[in-house]
Amino acid sequence: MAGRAGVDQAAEYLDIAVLRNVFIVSLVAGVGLSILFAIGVRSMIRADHGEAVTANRAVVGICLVLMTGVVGLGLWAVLAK
Amino acid sequence: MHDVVLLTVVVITALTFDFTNGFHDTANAMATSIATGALKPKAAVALSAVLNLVGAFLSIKVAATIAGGIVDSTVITLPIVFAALLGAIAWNIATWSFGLPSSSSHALIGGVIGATFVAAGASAIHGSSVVAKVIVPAVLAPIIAGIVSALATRLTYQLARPDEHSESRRYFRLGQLASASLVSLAHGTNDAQKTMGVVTLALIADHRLQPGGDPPFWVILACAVAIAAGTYLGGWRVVRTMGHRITHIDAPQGFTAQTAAAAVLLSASQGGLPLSTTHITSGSVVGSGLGRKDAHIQWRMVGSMAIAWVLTLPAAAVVAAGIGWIVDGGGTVQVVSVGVVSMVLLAAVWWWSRRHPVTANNVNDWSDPAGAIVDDAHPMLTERAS
Repeated sequence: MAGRAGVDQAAEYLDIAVLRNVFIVSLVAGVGLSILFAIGVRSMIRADHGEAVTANRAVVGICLVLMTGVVGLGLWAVLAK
Repeated sequence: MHDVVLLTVVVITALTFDFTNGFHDTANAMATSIATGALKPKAAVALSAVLNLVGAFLSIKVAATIAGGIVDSTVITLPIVFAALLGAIAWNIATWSFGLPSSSSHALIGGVIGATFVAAGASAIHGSSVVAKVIVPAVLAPIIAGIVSALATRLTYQLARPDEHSESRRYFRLGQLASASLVSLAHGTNDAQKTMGVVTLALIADHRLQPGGDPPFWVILACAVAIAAGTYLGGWRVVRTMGHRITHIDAPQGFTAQTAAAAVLLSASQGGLPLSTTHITSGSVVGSGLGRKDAHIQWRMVGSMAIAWVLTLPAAAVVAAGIGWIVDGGGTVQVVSVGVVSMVLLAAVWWWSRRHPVTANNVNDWSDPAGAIVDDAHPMLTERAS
């Protein structure tokens, strides 16, 4: 009972569903973009060192396209609201 | 005639607040880029200023004004708006002089609460809204940003191994330009709106605009220019704190901190969760320190920031209440007199700060008391360490 009351009181001050969504989207976008960039950087350095140049450059390109898409989608979602 | 003078003073005060908002928050977007050498200080603030200017024009959501739901809007008059703005400006200047990042939005909310309390009593303040819109977000913002940033940093270091491939820092510095630009744009979109909302509120209170009406173009332009000018001036003290006094920031950390901040900021905006840009970016910087294995975090500085955040609302409220007590029910003469005295006091604080100036030339001149980890991006730190 006390736990239920606590949840109800918290819900009065905060939309838990919104908070959960913001946290998940932030986590996916923030961590995801960083991972994509890190993979891209690693591949770029490998290509710079002459390791599987074409494949590594393709990975860099894919990462760049994905990142641009995510950022563009994010901006569109915020500005179109 | 008196009405025009009063309105003019309130508008000028609002734009002054917008200006302080800009220079206080320069650090949010650019501190890590300046600290890692991704951008020269002057270039960083110029880029941030332009993006804040652009961001201010991208969205006009002034219907949701900063004070919406927090106080009874029917009791708000021009002198109350004036007192609220001065309370917020005073807190912004005080925290800037100590180099402490703090939320301009929360300062403004504190000012509105203090001034309204004096004018209409406690019944005009909606306590549950204060908890929901200020206190809970202030706790959540740095936690969410810190978690995202720490995780992003840890994974980035594992994947890119910048300690083994030092040349990767060049790419992370390039990445920082994009992520910092995103934060600047989001900042302009969010923060310029607050002042537009305040000026619009003043125009409505003075019966020069219909309730619910869109702000005139001159309001949008003036607010955009004021926040951009403040950003370009650069709050170098806060930039130094965010860039050097919380943790030593390496280029990959700068990138992940800004990317995490941008992600939290944009998703919170989209979700309608009122999180402060300052709290998000500060949490991200701390998170980037937690995410890197050998990083050292200055917890004492983090504690000072936390104390400043706790004090923001009550301090701004007390100042605004004092000013509100003087000007409420009074005429234009009181408001103008208080405005002149405030300008003199602000000039005195600025003059006092010149004793130990922090500028674009020395913003990176800081050594970590615990023993700085130095790299090529920090020649000054290298000199001190050696």
